Amino acid sequence: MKKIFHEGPISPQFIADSIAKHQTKTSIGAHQIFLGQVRADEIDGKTVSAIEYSAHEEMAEIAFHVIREATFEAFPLTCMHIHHSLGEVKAGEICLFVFVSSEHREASNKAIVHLVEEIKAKAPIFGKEIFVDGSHVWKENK
Amino acid sequence: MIKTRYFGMIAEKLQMQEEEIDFSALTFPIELKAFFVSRYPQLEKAPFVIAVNQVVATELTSIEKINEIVLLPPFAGG
Repeated sequence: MKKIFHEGPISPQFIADSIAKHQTKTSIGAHQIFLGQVRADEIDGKTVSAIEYSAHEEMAEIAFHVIREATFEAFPLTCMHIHHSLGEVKAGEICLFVFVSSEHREASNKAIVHLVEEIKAKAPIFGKEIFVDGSHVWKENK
Repeated sequence: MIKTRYFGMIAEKLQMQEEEIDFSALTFPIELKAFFVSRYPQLEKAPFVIAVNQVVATELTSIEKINEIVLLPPFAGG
């Protein structure tokens, strides 16, 4: 199974390197990328400064594997990469990087939307929204 | 004894990440949510699902081949 989790934020350089690695795969005609970024939400007058992610890693790896296989079945993709942060990710930093590629745009356009929704609904990942003053609330995907 | 793990908000409410629970003296099937809420009343209003051997479950019908029970609060990935 592919490694999904990264300690801390996903760096823009990592994303750039990942794009560069695909330049040798010349059957690809379309890429789609989704980047989840931690938002400085204001909740009851307090501003979120970071999210601390934790997960049931084994269950999450299985969930990602199932999502991955089902997405390959549903869309004619050339490749797919999913990376998610664990630990603290500050507001403005990247916590989720989903990257799909296909010969033509339709498959990757549809697959990216499907994948992000599936990840949010099915991966047992938990997020503690930490405020500037050190207090926190638990995030819940809608 | 079955290894029981708590995550996120649930771990915070219980102030622990895991424990070993002895289910052997109980009558099966065990309704898991009721079991945990009765053991820990502070979970009564908490949203969570339970997974047995990494599969979401509501009941425990036996303790044979059970390696792990986990309490998972709402997902927040992405």
